[in-house]
Amino acid sequence: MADPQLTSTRVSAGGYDEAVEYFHARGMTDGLPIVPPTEERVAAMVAASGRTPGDVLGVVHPAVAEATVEKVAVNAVMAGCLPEHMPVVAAAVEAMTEEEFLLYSIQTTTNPVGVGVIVNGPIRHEIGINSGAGCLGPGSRANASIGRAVRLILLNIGGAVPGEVDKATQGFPGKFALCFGENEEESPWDPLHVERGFDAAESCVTVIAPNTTLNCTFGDRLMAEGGMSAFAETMTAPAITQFSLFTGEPLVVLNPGHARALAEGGWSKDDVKRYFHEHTRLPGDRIHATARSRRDTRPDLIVDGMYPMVPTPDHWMIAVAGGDGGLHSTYMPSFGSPKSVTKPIRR
Amino acid sequence: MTVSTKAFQALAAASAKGRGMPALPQVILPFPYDTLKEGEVREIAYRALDDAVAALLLPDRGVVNVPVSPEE
Repeated sequence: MADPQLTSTRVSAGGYDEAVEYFHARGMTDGLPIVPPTEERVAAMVAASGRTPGDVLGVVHPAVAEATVEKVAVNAVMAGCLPEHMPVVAAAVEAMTEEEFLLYSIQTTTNPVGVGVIVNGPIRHEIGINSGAGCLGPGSRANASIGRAVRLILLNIGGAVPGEVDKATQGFPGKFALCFGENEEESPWDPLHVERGFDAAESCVTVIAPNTTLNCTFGDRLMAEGGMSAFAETMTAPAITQFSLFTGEPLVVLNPGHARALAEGGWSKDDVKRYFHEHTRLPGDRIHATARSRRDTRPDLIVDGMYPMVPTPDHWMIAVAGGDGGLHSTYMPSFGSPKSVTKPIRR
Repeated sequence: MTVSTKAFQALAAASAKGRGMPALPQVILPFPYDTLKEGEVREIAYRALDDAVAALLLPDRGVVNVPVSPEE
């Protein structure tokens, strides 16, 4: 049944295999097979967005192309999303196309950076977003397909063809898909979206620009004693890109055990940010000259010759996610100057 | 017009197209620069200057490649 509201070009294929090869041949996948975006599937995805197909969610660089609900829905279908995932994908597109996220830079840099999506609020449970054990790995359809949908949108609407327009020297596996929920129920602190002024009952996405993920391991129980120091020392590496520029937002995803141990030790989330800010400094001669010169523009932030990673504690982001296995948390240094953006999920 | 290195030529073309200027003249410099001395970089810049000025002043210049050395 033809849907008169959908305006995308129709292509006939002889079957599933032929449809998949059609997209492979045109460089419209991430290298993995896609779900063919049939008219029925796309229409269902559009309907689940609560918007009309022609609504523009944002402009995706560097192609400077409008991300209409229909085009976003096509990519969401291709990524394997279910219709109930569509509101999250739509909100992520709205967030990543905000000017302060600097999508042009993210899409075209030699850095490995990808676009990550953190989901907060009740929708996590409604659509099966994993915020617990293995939330940064495989196993959750919602995490995998929403993260993948964002990548396909960046490729097919934004034009970030790897090697030609996306100039990442190596990239990193998080560019395939990086979406997880915050484990609000196991966190001792306000979740990320509440920290940013949203109601706890509201569902939100926050888009981030991580350059990689780095595992940090320490016994949960000792986190408030030696753990913070060990984490800070691990993150203070002069060759990590967070030191290349002077802005950006380094993110620490603490597992619930680490977060609880800190809270029981009297640490607030702001205390954690301040600690990391003060204990990840490097002496000037350990920082690349260009990176040092950027920091020299703010002599008020240099303490006893020690240069900060980012200008203020508020540049640090803290989220809580993961299962009850403990021990492992994750550091995600960010790329360049993008500011993470949080948007409510419209349903 | 725009100036870019060979490695970023496709990106420059895509960016120009995205901004509605698919025929934007390009002056393409060699790549990479990390391995060159400052004097060598300046030489390339001087050689590119006439092409850059011409791209600004004359129509239909298309894509001009600036060689690494004058002998090329």
